[in-house]
Amino acid sequence: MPISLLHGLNALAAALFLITTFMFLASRQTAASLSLYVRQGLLLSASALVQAYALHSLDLLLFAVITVIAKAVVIPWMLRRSLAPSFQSRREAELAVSVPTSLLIAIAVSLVAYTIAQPLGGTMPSFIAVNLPVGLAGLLISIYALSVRREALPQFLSLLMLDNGVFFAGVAIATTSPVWELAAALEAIIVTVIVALLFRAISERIGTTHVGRLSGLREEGSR
Amino acid sequence: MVTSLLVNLLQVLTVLLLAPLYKGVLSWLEETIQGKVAASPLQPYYDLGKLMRKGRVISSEASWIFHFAPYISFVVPIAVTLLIPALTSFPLFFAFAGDMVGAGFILGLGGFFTALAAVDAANPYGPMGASRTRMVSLLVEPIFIIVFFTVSFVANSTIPYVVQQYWVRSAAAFFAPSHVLLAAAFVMIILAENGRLPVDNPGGHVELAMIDESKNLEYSGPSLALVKWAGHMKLMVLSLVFLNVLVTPWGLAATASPLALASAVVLVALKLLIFAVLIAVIETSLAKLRLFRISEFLGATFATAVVAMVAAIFHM
Amino acid sequence: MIILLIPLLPVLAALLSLIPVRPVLARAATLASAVLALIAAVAVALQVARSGMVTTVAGWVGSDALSALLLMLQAVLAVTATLYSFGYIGREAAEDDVRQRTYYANLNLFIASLFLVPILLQPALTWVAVELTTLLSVFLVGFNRTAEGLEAAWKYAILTIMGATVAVLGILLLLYGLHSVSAGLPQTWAALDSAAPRMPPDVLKLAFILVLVGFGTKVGLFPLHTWLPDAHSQAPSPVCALLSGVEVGTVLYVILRLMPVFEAIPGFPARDWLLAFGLLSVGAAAFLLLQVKDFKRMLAYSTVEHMGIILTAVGFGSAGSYAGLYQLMTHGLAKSFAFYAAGAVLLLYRTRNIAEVRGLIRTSPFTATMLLASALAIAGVPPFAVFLSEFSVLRSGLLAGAGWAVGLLGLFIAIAFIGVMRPVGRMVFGDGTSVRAERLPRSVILALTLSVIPLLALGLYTPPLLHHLLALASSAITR
Repeated sequence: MPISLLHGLNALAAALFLITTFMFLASRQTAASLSLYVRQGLLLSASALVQAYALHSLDLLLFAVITVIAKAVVIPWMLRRSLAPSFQSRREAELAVSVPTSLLIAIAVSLVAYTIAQPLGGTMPSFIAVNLPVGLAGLLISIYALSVRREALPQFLSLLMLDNGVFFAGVAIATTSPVWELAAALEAIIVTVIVALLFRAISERIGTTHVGRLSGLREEGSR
Repeated sequence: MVTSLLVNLLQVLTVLLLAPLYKGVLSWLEETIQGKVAASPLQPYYDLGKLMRKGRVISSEASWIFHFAPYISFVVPIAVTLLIPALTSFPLFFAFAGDMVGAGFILGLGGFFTALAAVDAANPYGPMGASRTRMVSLLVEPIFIIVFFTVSFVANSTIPYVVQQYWVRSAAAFFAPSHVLLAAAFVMIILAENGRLPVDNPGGHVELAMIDESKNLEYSGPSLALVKWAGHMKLMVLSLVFLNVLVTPWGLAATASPLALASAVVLVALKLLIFAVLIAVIETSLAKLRLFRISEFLGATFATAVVAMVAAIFHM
Repeated sequence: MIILLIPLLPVLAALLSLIPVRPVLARAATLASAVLALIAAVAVALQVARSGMVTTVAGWVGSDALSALLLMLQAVLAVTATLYSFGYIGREAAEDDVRQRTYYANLNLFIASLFLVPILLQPALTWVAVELTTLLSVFLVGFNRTAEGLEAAWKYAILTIMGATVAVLGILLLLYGLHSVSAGLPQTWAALDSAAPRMPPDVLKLAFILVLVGFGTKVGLFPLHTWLPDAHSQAPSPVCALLSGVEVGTVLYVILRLMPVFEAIPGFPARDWLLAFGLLSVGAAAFLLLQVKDFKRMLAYSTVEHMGIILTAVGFGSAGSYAGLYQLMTHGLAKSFAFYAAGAVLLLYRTRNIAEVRGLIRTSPFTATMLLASALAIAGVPPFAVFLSEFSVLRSGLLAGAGWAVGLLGLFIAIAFIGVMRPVGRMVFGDGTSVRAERLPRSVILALTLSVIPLLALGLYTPPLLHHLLALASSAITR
């Protein structure tokens, strides 16, 4: 396959990755957010696969496989199993900021990401020039989404998307360092396990997972 | 010069004649996917013919706008067809009479008159639908502008024929992020502007829920035929812009020879068929959005278009 | 070889803690592992003082002066926190053996992950260790399963994991820069330091921002500190002591390790950024201290303040690095002591509210003295060690010529002093008597006494070993 086609395919994955991030900002239902996350994971693996093929890198291939297993299979399965009631309820997530405003902020943020990442792009065309701004934009948008989401589960999904964004950028700048790839991919699973347990405890103890309303910890003092 | 004028008129004729078939094929595809027994793809022709033979009923409250709006809305897509590369890749007689922004204005003119006409007839559902249509068009405007800006930034021109030469130069550029995002945004524009799902249900009969169909409510007979035909042509024109300028500018006639033109017609029809399949799949997999969520949907489209613009500016 | 033992001991203790017998085994194992780890840490420190750097596995595991200092601090706090836990957790989870055993297992694993951070020579692995410390402390923070406790644990988990994820991109960028200099270089701190001048500056700048913001969240720098007060007010006191005394310091260690790399960016004032962020944190914390109503939150804001002081000190330059590292050590000792005292008050009076505790000196003289002493210690009053370190920070600032910064710093420290002493003074000497619930457990008293001794000792005399190690360490973080 000619290298330009590989660049093109990677760029396609990057564009779709960015679209899923925007759609995540616009989505209100938790189940929809989760399927967006799964698709993002698949796009991340696709980008890693393309680059693995282009650079003949075994590490990236391994990373792609692990990502698919971890992010498209294991994590959604774990979340659905342990948090099933929250997914099935079709209630809409409350948003602190309305969707159109959030989208405008996301646009501004993407602009910032592209501006920052431009000097690092190197000679065109290259994988870094495509992946780094998209990954950075995903990172920044996920941080924003994290701060406006009020429900525990969407907050956690924003965190997972942050992870995806970081690794999307990381795939392009990764050097042959097998340790970090494996560790980081597994880390997502461990994080999910712990957060799922915490979530269970919260919903059992408090009866609601609307963490934005849990504002008992303030300066008024506590018992 | 005479040949280019003739070919230009041939383009108009093609669009005029093929538009109902395009709509018919689209409906047929959707209904087949949904498992229904579909009406023949030629059904729109029969409908237009039937309507032409019927008589008109016009409210006594209606003004001249109501009388003339069908003609205006019929002429608008034809005027736009004169400007865009529908069959040929070289500029034709009217090619430089207006650019993409001009085409957008012409389409907007048509929408303006139809909206006024809907208010004119004193039917309660008319103004309601007209205001909703205007809202959707209002939200779609910025996206149009961003798309035009991006393609003209890359091509250094706003004339569709010139843009077509420069926008997609190779197969690899097909996959560039700016291209993909722009194409996605434009597909959503097409869905929104033509009143298709997820913005509006074209097959719906409940007047309370209509957005785009409400413009047809008061018309009857030949006026209704013209308005319907205009709707079919608008869908085809926007699809042609999408296919021939933005996404797949291949298969168009490079010379004015009859053979080239005939093969161009066939290839364009093939591209439209594939695009119809795409639209049918999208429509059958989405549900109609609630009204307040349309702004969110179009907001996401706007975000996509802006990122496409940013990516194009940064040459990625 | 001893270095490898240090994180292994707590892991063993964790395994032993899980055996389903009475908690005595868990306690004994934890204490034994902590004491042995302390001995090992001191041994490593002595070796480093002699030969400058100890490498166990080339390119993977080793310790220089900075790591040795951190290891000693971690080990000391592990010992005192374990002792304190005997009484505190014994009181909190009385009759619930399973809960106590899980606590000790969790505590041991957390301590093991803390020990891992300074001894790993590769930035990527160090990041993994930092992430482990977060993951292993989430359930310690949420130990009391109240609504507020779980909310605090949730906020802690989400915010710090977010910070760590942002930081990993920074580390990846650094490794990428290293790779672009030369493909075969080992990915260690040392290689980063030496290759830094040749790395593309844009990569380094972006990495700097990401590392500062990402790890800064875990350190509690303003404005990413919001999880700190909540987590500290809800977590059990020994856990707070470890979190505030050592965990934030450990993450700060990672930032400091990278400073020589960032200083190599041509024309980029990395130190000034640290100075600015540090002053911002100190100022914000000082003002936040004035309106606090919960005495554990007060200590949390004090942690933010001290972390800001350390950052400012490092921002001053080479003399400031020495002072900053000294401050890191003394703060760890002082803050843990303060949390022990606060925990004792909590055990006795069952309330975190400052307004509800009055006249401690009359009802419980020992606790009152300890509380007063700890408040004086973290406010920077002689003869406690923190006074010496803060004084050297201010002095190094004057030496570096940043007079305005020193003035601001002094002002903020003064405001923080008021912010700490006023509520504590009211709690200790105020009118009215609060009803006292129970006596303090013996191990709590022991832990308190053990904590105050090094504070006083270091305040009066700096052992040459410490001075030597500090000098070596400060040269490691200065270019």
